[in-house]
Amino acid sequence: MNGSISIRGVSKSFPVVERPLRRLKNVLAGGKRGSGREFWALRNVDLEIAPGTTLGILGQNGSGKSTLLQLMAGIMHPTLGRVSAAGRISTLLELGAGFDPDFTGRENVRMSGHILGFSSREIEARLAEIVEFAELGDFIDRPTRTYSSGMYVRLAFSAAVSLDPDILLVDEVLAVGDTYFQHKCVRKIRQFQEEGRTIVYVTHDIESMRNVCDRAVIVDYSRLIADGPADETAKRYMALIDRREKLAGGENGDPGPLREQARKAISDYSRYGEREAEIVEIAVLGGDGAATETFAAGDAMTIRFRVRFHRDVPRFVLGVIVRNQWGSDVFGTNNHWQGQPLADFRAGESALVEFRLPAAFASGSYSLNPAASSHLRGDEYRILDWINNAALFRVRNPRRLAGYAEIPCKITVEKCGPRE
Amino acid sequence: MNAGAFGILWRRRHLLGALAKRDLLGRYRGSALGLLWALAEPLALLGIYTLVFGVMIGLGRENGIGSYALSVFCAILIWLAFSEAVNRSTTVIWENPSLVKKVIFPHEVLPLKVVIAGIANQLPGFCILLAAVAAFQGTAHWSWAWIPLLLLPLFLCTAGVAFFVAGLGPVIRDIRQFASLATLCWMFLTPIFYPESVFRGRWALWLLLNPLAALIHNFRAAILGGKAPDWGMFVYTLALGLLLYRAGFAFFKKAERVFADLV
Repeated sequence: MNGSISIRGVSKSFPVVERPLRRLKNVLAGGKRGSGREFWALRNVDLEIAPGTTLGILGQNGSGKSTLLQLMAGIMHPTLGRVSAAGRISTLLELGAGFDPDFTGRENVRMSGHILGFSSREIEARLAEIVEFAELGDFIDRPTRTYSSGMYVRLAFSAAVSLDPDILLVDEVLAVGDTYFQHKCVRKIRQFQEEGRTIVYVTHDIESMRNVCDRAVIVDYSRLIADGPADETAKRYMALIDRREKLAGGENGDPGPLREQARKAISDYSRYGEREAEIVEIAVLGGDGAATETFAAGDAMTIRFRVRFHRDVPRFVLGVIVRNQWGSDVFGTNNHWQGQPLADFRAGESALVEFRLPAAFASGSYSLNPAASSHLRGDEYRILDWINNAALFRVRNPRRLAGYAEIPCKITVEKCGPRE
Repeated sequence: MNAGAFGILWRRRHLLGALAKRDLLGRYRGSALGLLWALAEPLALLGIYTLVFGVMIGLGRENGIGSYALSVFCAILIWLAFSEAVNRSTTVIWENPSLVKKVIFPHEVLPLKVVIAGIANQLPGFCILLAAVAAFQGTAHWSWAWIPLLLLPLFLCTAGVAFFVAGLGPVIRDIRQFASLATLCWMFLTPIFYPESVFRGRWALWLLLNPLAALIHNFRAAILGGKAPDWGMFVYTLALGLLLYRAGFAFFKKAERVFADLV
């Protein structure tokens, strides 16, 4: 059935010592197992993907997730086991893959179409749509060597989705585009989901995965270690990364490479400041005062912070920035900007700070980025504790809107007589 | 998207056409003389062979230097179509890593487009050859109608050899040096600038075995001689071409499995 992918007992090895001639001999002799030393990029993977699924593949760098994608695409062949995929497959595996830098964007799109098996006439019929979606202006007729990486992504994504694939395989490239285009991509992906096409999305950005996927798997050290609903798998992945982070460095240990990578994986959680004032608790509460993660658009929302003071802190300010899933600031404020008198705190004291606001946002995931600081003068603050991606919440908004914040708006349309 | 050895030619005709066109345009893109360069190589070879072998050594004395030059030119075009495709096939896989590694792509199309572009690249030369024959002999020949038919075994033989070297290319990089040396030797063992009659006695067998000699013989008969091709030779080259093509394709498909790992 078109759109299904089946992976049975698949392992993939690469020879560590490159012996091309021996490899060829093995292949020609029909032998599957190489001899000597090899690196197993994947071991014994079973995965059945039903048509219409949006599957996320989570994993750290080098875990084997990209190899898995290349096997699905049929670009690589498994060392053991069987891979089959039914239907037309489009891939976005690398920036500008398959593009010849000497040829123009338009010429390269035509070639992509031919590679997917379209005739010139079929391509011309879709070309206008692709060019329009990519929004490259005059650049569409310039050599792709002159493109920025963002422009590459625009063109590659437009070509891949417009050439009518049953299966779309995407490897982390979307993160390169600008926010505006990313949202356009997400809308396109939603449309694909409604049309029942299969999407496989490799990433280590948990939020974007949770946002678009309905099922997710984790590839870790060449093995498939988890498979389930996207939310559940995301939690398991975060727990896994958390555990590794603790093992690798501890709370105050050196930020080793694994720790850095783990940080990146958990949505860029990061924190700095001297912590004379420390944010010790963050809670996102619904209208009923209960902790929640999901809001309907316009619901009452309370963000509660508990701050502990380890030193005396004059003119205490607490601010928070709400960011969307692509990291853009949507809205931010603090008690100083709101014109409130600022209080001084002494060491040992605590503060309870609450922000009450309507969840008037577009559909999507948002992160809270709070900062505790001390106001010095004018626009100057001393940052005491700043946390990026401290907490997450989600908003479901049934209405379409442009941008991310839904500012209350009344529209009236009146019929007037013919022009006087 | 699997098609058989011959099915691929039809199933992927749009892609093959686009790639061959890009290949030809890309070659001369940005150069001042453009497509005229396609004529440069055969004309230069024609000039030097006619001068050295035809005039200085005197091979052209028998039938006149004009007909000698035409005969050499005809053979050179066939030879270049073959040897260029074979030599370029050695590197065609690892010259296109992004097509091999990063997109879903029928690899067998790469050597095929090199062969098609190689033959197409000699078409301007063919036109000049036909015009020159018409001018020199004072008439065009009906036998020119056989030319498309004669291109078929040329394509099959070339593609068959191209499949083998293209499949070996990424695995044994030395194949490139080997192929250029081998085609050079092969050229001198093919009656291009000397007559077939040179192969006498025990050497006659070589002439028989060399499909390029048979191909050139038939092209010369049709283009210069105004005669129908030698059907025995035609069937021989066609059968050999089919065999080479099938075997080369099968070999290539097996070797293909390791391309993405190696490129």
